[in-house]
Amino acid sequence: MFVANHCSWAGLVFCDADAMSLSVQSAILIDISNLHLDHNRKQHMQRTWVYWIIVLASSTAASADVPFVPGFDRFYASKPTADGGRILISELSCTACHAATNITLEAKRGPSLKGAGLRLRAAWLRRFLANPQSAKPGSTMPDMLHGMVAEKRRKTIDALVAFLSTQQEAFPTPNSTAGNPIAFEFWRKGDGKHGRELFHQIGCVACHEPDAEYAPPKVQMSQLEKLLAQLAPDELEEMGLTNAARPVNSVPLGDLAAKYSRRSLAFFVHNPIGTRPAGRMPNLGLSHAEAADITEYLLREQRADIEVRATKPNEGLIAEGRVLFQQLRCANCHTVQQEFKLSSATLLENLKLQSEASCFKQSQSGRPRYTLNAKQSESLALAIQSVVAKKRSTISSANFRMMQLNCFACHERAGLGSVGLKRRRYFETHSGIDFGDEGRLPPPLDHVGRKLSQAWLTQAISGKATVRPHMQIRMPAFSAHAKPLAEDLKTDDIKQKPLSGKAVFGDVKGLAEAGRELLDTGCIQCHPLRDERLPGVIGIDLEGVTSRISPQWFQEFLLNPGALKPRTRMPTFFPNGRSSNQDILAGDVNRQVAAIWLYLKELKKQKLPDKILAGKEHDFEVTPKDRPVVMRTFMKRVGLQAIAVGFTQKVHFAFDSKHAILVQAWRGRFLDAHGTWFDRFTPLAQPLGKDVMNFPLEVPIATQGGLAPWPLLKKSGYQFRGFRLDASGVPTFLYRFSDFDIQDRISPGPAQSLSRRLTITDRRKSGGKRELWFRANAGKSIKAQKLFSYTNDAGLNVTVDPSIRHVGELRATERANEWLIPFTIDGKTTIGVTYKW
Amino acid sequence: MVNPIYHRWQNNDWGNLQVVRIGTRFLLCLLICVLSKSTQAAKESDYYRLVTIASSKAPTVSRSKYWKPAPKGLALEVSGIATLDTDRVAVTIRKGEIWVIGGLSGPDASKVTYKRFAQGLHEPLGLLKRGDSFFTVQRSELTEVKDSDGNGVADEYLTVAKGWGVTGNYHEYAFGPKLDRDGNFWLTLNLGLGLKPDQKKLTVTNKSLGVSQGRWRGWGMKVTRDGELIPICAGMRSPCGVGANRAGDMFYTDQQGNWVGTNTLHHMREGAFFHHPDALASIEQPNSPIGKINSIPNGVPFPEALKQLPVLKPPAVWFPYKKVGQSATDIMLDDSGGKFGPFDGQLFIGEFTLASINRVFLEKVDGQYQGACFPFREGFASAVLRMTQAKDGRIYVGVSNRGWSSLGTAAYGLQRLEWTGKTPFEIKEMKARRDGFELRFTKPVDPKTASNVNSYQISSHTYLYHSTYGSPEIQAKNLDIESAAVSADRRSVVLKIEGLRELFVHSLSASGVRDANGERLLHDKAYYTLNRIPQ
Repeated sequence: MFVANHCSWAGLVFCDADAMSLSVQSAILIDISNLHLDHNRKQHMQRTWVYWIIVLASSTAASADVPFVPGFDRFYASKPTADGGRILISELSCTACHAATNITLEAKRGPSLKGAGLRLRAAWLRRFLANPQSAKPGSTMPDMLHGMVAEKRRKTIDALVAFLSTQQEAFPTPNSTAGNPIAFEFWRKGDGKHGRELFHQIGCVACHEPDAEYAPPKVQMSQLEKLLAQLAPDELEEMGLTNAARPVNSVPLGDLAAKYSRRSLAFFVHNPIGTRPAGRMPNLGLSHAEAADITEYLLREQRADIEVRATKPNEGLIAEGRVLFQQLRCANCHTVQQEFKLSSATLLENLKLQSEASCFKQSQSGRPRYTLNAKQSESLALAIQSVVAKKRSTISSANFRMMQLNCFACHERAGLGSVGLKRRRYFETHSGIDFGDEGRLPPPLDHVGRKLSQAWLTQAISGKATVRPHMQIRMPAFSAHAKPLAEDLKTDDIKQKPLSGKAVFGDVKGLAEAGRELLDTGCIQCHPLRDERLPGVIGIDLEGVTSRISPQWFQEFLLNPGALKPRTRMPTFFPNGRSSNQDILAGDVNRQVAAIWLYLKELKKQKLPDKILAGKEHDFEVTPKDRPVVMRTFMKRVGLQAIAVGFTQKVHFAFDSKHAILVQAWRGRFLDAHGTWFDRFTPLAQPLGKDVMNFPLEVPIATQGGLAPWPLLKKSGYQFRGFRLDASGVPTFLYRFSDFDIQDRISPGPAQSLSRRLTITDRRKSGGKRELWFRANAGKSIKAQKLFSYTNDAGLNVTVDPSIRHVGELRATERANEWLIPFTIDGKTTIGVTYKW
Repeated sequence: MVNPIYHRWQNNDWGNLQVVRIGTRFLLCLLICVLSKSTQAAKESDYYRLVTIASSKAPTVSRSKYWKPAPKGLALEVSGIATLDTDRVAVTIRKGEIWVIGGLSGPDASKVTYKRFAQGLHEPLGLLKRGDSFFTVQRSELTEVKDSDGNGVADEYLTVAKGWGVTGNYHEYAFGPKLDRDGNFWLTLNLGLGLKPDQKKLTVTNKSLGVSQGRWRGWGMKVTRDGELIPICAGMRSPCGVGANRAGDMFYTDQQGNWVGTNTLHHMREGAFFHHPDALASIEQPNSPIGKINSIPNGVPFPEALKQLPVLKPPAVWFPYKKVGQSATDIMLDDSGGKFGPFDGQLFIGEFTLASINRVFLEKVDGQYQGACFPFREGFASAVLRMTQAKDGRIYVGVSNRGWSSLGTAAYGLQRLEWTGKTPFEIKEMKARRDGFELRFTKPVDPKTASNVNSYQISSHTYLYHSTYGSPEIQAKNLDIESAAVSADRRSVVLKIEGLRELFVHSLSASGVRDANGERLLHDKAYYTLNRIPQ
């Protein structure tokens, strides 16, 4: 029948029930009507029309509903095969009762019911138990109560629901932290609009039905789609497009609003594997807020937030339900809080198919009844025969697992699978940048076992591989399946013993720098490194790539990307086996690839490529343009109360406002402000430029000179009081010590020197002359250049304006050789100084 | 019954199905709209409208080690905010600038103007306008910033007060200033966290308690108009909010962490010690108003700790964790005389992690402040860090996620919260009585539900005082409500309650109470910190 068999030509083209926006669908309709269809085909189309009107009008479709098993439905539904039947064996959980020795046939089993009493609505449970296919079309839960008279069935359901209501495993308490904030009662706070977007973007619609009214970003049909719409099955086969044209039906969601509360559904989508350990619904790594958003979208038609209320049925009924739970063998598939003894049926290998009482044909009361269609039951029969005959499956263990887990809903491998044709349009890059399909669709998995290390593969299947942050679709976690599937993929894909890095690249010692240069010539245009990137780059970060990818695959891929990944955007830098960089390592192709490998392997400790470094500095480098820049920061040597002053003349200085002293000067570039502005951990800034001169760490003026030691910084009594900017933006620092106020203005002098004016004012009202000392220069050694000019051992030349009227004196103390100048102040005086270095 | 809309997954002809789908969906939606109209719950946005003036996503996550602002536009990480008039606010941003944002009263956000007033400040975390000057607390000083030549750009950066310890530790944030009733400046100083060896060299130590911190770290400080820096009270962990109530008494908020069971609001007064012992590193410094302390209890219920350590003072309000926020920030008095709705005179408390604002009612019992907190408004674009109220009653809210994270998805920005003019049905006040509480509502209640004791639940709990991070709610107990008496004006209900416990937080749920129109409370929870039972 048409519904069950998707193999008629119309089925092939149309039965992909992926939703698409209405406009797209109309577009296809027009396309079709423009084709020169023969009369029969047109008639057929009309017939299907009529059929659907009948189906929808009658609403009796429940009886036609059969268990939906994605791997079977997509690849085996058209023709009964033993391979297809094997998938049904595990997915219909046959082996939960009929044990099999072959572990790949392990029963999927049903959800854990430990918390069912708080999570599932009793009314829905009743409906579901009464007729699973009717309450949840496509369910793989068999009808366990068939053949009972109505009254007995009702009582059985009452008792089972009573027992399930005692299953009250509490909801987890999410840990809301500063790093991962979670709203109080987050499930009440979902944003349905955002949930709808997430549902259509992050991967849900790779398996589930999209909303027909949701407009995905790409509404235009691809060339491939147009082509497929026009081809007949034989033509498709001829062109090798059978896989692409295969329909991808949706995994049904059922009546969620009748089944769940917002709370229970939000916790379910946040961690599906917690309730459904089989992992057929994988964990998409949703945040709690995202889980609430998607829940709000899915339950958008549930009016108020009605919690599932814990009920207290009478003990007798509960006890009865408990007995029934055992008798009906529910525990074979479902875990509950109590332990039950599992009951087993005939071993799978010993099944006699002739038995008319077999549960998938004419099931007797008390046994499970599956409402299979003809193709399903024939497939199942073939599979059981093949198991009994101890034959092996024709598909590899890895591919078989991928069918069970529906990996093929997203990935292509061995000519099978990939995102359903009409579902592809939902998946985009985050920023909308065009990366081709490679940037928006999950990667094909051919030879992935050879490409990826087992550790990384396991991590990827565990949902912990986050190397493609640019993709909206997320790789979900399949948890318990990760390890066996990774192992199977390795076994499947590795035909020869893989070579070690040493065997592939030879001696790579000393090649890292060449690798760094090579990366600068191309790779970094698309790939970030350690989260550092050129502007706009959003490709895969190459940090850790050498622990993800096998050396041999890496080499082959670099030499000829297209050979390993058809249609990849990755260009070759070695066209026809010749390097495009003949200057590096004399153009030796193998050595160059080895150098790149080594550099990436050591990326953590290696310097970044120059272009990234330059870009990074450019981002937050402060360059005085029209006026001086005055900024406070934590600074090495200058301290934690530093004020850095940069000038357009490209000579700069830093002042310590704690002690009120000039500490450092330099030329060229000024400062990188990222640490000061945006780094939470407040690193110390350093001059970016050159010619860094460190000034002696002493106050400039004191009341005592002569034989008295120069006051220690700590005890100088200097008090910083701020600064004023003049019309040109040059700061004058204000500070005070003893009876004196000092105004200190430092600005660029000729030839990138610094010119300083210290204006000292006597604050005493009494007035009168006072003698003070100016410590003009100091160092381990100090040398006169000329009158009023001395240079210290660090190369700091200080020239004091002769208006100070005294040439001063040199003295040697334990601390330094100092040039001190006495001067007299009568109310106010100014000292002029020039610093050269 | 199988719903043809959602369960026809197996169909393989979509053309006509589509038509049916849309038709049915439309009818269904219509039906739902009709049905839900009367039952739809009131939303915060019906009463308080949130307008985004500017907000931005950053290219990196908020805790990224190499955080960057959006490539274009101003990195409006508002860290301090002051209203200038109804059309303009001034803000400090975390990178160290002061901006004047104008054109706010107009309807068109694109007409908003931005002008930089000052720059080069070191992580200013507060802003105050007084006379012609701005005052801001930078990492190492309280600074007066002014424009002396009148060209609209600051040219004087004068040090008002400094002298607290700065070791270079990232966590040594300094907040403020705000003014008390006498015109003194108040500021609060974060503790350093995880000091490195070279940072430790710059600390002061209290040997008997074995604590080291930068000088006055974990203290609330007062600065007189002359610039004298006076230590007032100690024991702060991360006092991100400072503010005055209408009486001009000074309060600060603290953040849950070690020694701090959950977020708190404290009345700052001389000699008080609030919780974190690291702050006691400075008690031997000159001018410390706190004398010698021999030992600190650790791992006891907070009421017990108060007995063992008399200098320890309880918070005026505990904010139960998650229920009323996870990280309290700014304190803002609603001084609008009703232009911001029915809460004139109450305090509004910013909330970082949950990107929301909570509300506080305070009363004095035996001369000490205590009171209740209530959720107020959530859904801000990013973590709520700063708030200020304009003369027209509207609140400008500066948001910024960086370093932590919040439920808000923007990295930073400026938003405005305005009263729509509709009065929400809320518990306006919760006052302690000798034998229960008196609830004052914003609207007349339905006497039937309000006088039914089953409309209310009340429980009380306290916290552990201990060196570990945060505290569970301990010694929790449900209390019996004996009676609920509705006042003649139907705006108050007196609950008579058995077994009130002093120093415990009393959590009230009034989920059964309806107003005269049968509406539920917009927020039906309130949490009263009952330090003293009035006699």
